[in-house]
Amino acid sequence: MSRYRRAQLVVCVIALAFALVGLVVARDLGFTARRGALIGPSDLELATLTLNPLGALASAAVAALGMAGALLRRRLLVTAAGAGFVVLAALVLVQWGGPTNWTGGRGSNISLWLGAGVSLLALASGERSAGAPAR
Amino acid sequence: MATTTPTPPRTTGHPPVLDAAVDGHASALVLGAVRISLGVLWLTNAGWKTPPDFGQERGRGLFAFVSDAVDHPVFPPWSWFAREVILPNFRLFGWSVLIVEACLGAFLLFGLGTRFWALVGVAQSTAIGLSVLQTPNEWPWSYYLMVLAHLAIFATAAGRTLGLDGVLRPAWAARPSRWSRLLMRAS
Repeated sequence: MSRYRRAQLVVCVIALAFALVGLVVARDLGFTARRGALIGPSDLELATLTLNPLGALASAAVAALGMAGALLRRRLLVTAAGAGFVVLAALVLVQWGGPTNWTGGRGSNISLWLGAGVSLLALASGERSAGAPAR
Repeated sequence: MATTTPTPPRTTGHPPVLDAAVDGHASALVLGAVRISLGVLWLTNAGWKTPPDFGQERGRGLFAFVSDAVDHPVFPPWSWFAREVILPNFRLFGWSVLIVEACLGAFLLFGLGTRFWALVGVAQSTAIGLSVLQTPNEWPWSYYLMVLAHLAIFATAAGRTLGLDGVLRPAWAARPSRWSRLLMRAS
């Protein structure tokens, strides 16, 4: 496995782990609850993302798409996953603090999803310029 | 009598002090852990800077910390700047802080453009320190340590170990564009 695909997998696994924990902690919330459930202990200042079930499912789906792209060597899928994460981050940036917040996210979600999205886009671009066959 | 040619010392193009710092798995793991921890620090703290008023209406959150720069001055020019420039334009300032800190978390966590974002982290930590160092119940050393930790990951280019900078730099080096040269410097 190339270093690019390994890195793509690591990025997606991190995002998927947050999404799966989010699915568990948000199980009692409304599907599009404006304030998502918190991941991480706030008393230790380790509170990270907040997610409602829709946000958790959407980020899990995008992470799974990226993992499929890395495992199947489909750069297009990795690029699509990167764009998906950037869209999720932009959605929180626009909606957080307003009456509607589809993912239940906050600033930490922007941080993780922006990082995952730009990372996947950069890795897909780097893989292309390194000469991997386009698919 | 056989003569032996001395083996030239291995060079990597880095100053010796940097070689000593980045050689070895333990050093790489520690540098990676410090970078990731700083990423998590910013990621968690991007979570409470809530738009659209960032605490202004209730005198809490980010607004309270900026007010500390005026109420408990550390450095008079910074207090003047906070009173005359930041507070009258507080919402714009709040959005810029949210975006910068979210980016710090994003890029330090994954190790992308680490040296550039480390310098941004130094600037942001300094600005926070200048606002709250004299505030009661603050621990000034936390801000000194934040500055020093960002300087450490800048000096050691910590995104090249366990980070995406290390994965992507060969591709950037092979591409003769201005953007690639910029990324090489930023990483």
